[in-house]
Amino acid sequence: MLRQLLAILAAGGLETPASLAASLGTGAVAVEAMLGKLEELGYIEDLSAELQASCSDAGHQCSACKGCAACGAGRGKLARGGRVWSLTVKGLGAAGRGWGHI
Amino acid sequence: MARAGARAESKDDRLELTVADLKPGELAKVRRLEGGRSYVARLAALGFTIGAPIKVIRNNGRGPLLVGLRGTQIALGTREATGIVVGAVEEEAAPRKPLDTNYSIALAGQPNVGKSTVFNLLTGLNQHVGNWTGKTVEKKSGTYQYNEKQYEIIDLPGTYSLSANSEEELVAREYILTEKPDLVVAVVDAATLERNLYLVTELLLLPAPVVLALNMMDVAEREGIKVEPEVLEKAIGIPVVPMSASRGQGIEALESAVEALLSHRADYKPNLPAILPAHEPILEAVKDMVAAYVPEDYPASWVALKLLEGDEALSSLMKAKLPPAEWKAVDALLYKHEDAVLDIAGARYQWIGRMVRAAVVEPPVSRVGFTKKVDRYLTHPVIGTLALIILMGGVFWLTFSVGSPVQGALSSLIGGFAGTVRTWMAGAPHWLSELVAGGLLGGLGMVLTFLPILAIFYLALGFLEDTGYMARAAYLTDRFMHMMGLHGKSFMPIVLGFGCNVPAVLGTRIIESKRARIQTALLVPFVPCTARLAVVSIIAPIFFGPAAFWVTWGLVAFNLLVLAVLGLLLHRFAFEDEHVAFIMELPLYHLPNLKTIGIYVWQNLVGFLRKAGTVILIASLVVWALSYFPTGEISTSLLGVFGQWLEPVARILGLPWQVFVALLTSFAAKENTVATLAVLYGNINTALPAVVSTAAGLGLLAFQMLFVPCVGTIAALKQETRSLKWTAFSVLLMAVLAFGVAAAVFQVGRLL
Repeated sequence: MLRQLLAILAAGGLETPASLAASLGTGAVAVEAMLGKLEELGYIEDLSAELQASCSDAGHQCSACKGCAACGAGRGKLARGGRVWSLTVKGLGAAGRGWGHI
Repeated sequence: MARAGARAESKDDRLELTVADLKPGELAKVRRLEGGRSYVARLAALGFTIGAPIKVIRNNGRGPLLVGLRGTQIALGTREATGIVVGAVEEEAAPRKPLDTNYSIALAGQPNVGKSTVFNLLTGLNQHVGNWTGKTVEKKSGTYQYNEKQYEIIDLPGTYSLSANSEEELVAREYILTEKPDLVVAVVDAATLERNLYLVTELLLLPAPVVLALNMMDVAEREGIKVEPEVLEKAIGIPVVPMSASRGQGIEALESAVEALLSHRADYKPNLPAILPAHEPILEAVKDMVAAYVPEDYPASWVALKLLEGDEALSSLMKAKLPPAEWKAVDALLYKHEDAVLDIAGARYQWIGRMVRAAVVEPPVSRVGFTKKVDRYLTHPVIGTLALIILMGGVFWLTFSVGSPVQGALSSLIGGFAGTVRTWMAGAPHWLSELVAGGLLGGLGMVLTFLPILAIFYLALGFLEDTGYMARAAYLTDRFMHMMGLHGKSFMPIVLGFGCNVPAVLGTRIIESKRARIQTALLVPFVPCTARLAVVSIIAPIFFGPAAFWVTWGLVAFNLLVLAVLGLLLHRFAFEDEHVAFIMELPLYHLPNLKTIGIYVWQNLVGFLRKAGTVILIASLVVWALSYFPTGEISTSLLGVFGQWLEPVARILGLPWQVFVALLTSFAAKENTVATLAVLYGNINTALPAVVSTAAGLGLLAFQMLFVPCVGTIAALKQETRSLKWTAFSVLLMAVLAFGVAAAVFQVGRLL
């Protein structure tokens, strides 16, 4: 199931837990759990913190403006939505290797 | 010995006894807890659960009572005592027999599943808190008695799995493997079983039998999730006990299930998650290679599986145990199958999916269901895009229809006040009265009249954000970005750009490929930030009145079109894309919280005021000084001379040089356009239509939307691209584009 998930992610595009759940025929909670596992294993990475850091690094500009939700929200979450992940090099590699590796 | 039941019968039948009514030495059983949810939960946590036998030790009618409960003594205030409704015990308590059996139970579960409440309910105050040997992780142990048997219970640290990713996970699995508890109680949250059962799949692989405490049934029920414990029990093949520990429900059933499983251990046949057939020979091979060296307490098949999963702690352990040559062979095999963990963990999730499908009925209507239903339309490529256009149009419409008249009134007020100031300062030097009236009030004062427009704009945006909609807007934007060859990690910086271009440019650092990073950084300034939109919100109604919100939408769409075309060109001729998927959580829709929206509006307005008090104030004063000195006449001032030199260029755009200069000052901060216009013209609401045609006004707005970003964004561009060449290219490109488009708009517009 995790391989299927990686294969979908490797195909590109923006996905949400709900869209992934629909593709996998499972629930969004299960997909979130699987994403957590893939992150723990290093196949995907959570970029929220890094993007959040870009706001801090914007320093004075952002503290004066706070025009963007990312900086203003102060919840460690982007656009008052949730986390965002992307495939890592390891994830891309694993999606490419597939079963043939065994 | 007197018994509570006997006394209850002698009283009015409707009268119920509470602990406060009992005399010293009286026995009773807890029938009900009263006094509000949190209060009941606190009593339940102390061990006052339904059916628990209690004995009053001291009750003198005043002050605290002392009661015996679950082998311990608890002091209760009168209020607490009156909240515990009791009934008769069936029989006189027999003299306690010596406890003949001791069992050890481990309590496992993920964080926040109510494990501590279950532990407290089981042990009452019979607990001890310390640390695991050599670890900083807290260790809680306690005892309880049930049916003349004594149980020692260890509260394992909360863990998501047993994969040795943290000290807690190591502690938990080491305890189960080496201390060999007689049984493990796995506490799970019934409302999020799909998330909780992963730990159970790992616990089932260890030697101790497992009882599943299906906690938070009340929460699941409230969420509309129906969990069928009997079905789950049959599916997993282990005892499943439904519980609501925070209400003190299910604890006796858990005690009974633990006792039953310990008495009939032979009947324990769990349905284990299977390893995929393709991995079986590999697992066997690893097991054969390491079996002779596996520590005594560890099952060899479990060690082999964990090695195949890439468990670092076990790899280190086995590396130390095996002769180097043999470990090398094991390591080579493991390396060859380094992604096997995906299939092993994947099979566990498949197992979880089967269990959940069997035992859980999803709510027909809930927040999740509602979100799913609404998202069917709001994230639909066509309907969703239309909804986005309508919603954002609504934001602009609200801003213009409510904010603009207020801004106009404030602008007249400021203009009138500037006149009054000039009269007051008639005796002061002319330059000073002009500085205050023209520079400060005209520039900064006029910018401050934006506040109502901004307040409404941010209020509407804050509302959309707090309902969870804006994440959908970002999601829809992705389709558009695909069209221009921007994928994956380019997406988020571009979306951030709608707020502020500075963090958006800095955010491109998440993109590994340098070429894709530069491409995205070059495109970000074309995303209209809130400052650009704020200026457009003020100028558009001056020229277009009620149609201003359509014009604004058109300008935003045009910017995005330019961004798309440029993206395609860069993609085609300069860079390659980074085709990586992006996953974004979409929050559940919920009713907006007024306080949250208020804070959002407040933060943004304060930010704007700070900017007004610094960058905009300085720019206003500089523009005023340049327009006043040395002659006191704008036409012969330094700015006037410079402006007249620029006039031929400005004329191509159909603009007076003053307006063109105002546009150029947006280089420091986008809002400076309005501040400069106000310094040079006074009340822009009346002055601008007199000197700028509608066609030129549209060109002015297009110029404002496409012109070089603010200096902060340019600095960020230089920082992230680490290239003066690309930074200069961006500045030049935007300047040329802004001029070209504005000129085209004016020249075509005046022909119509």
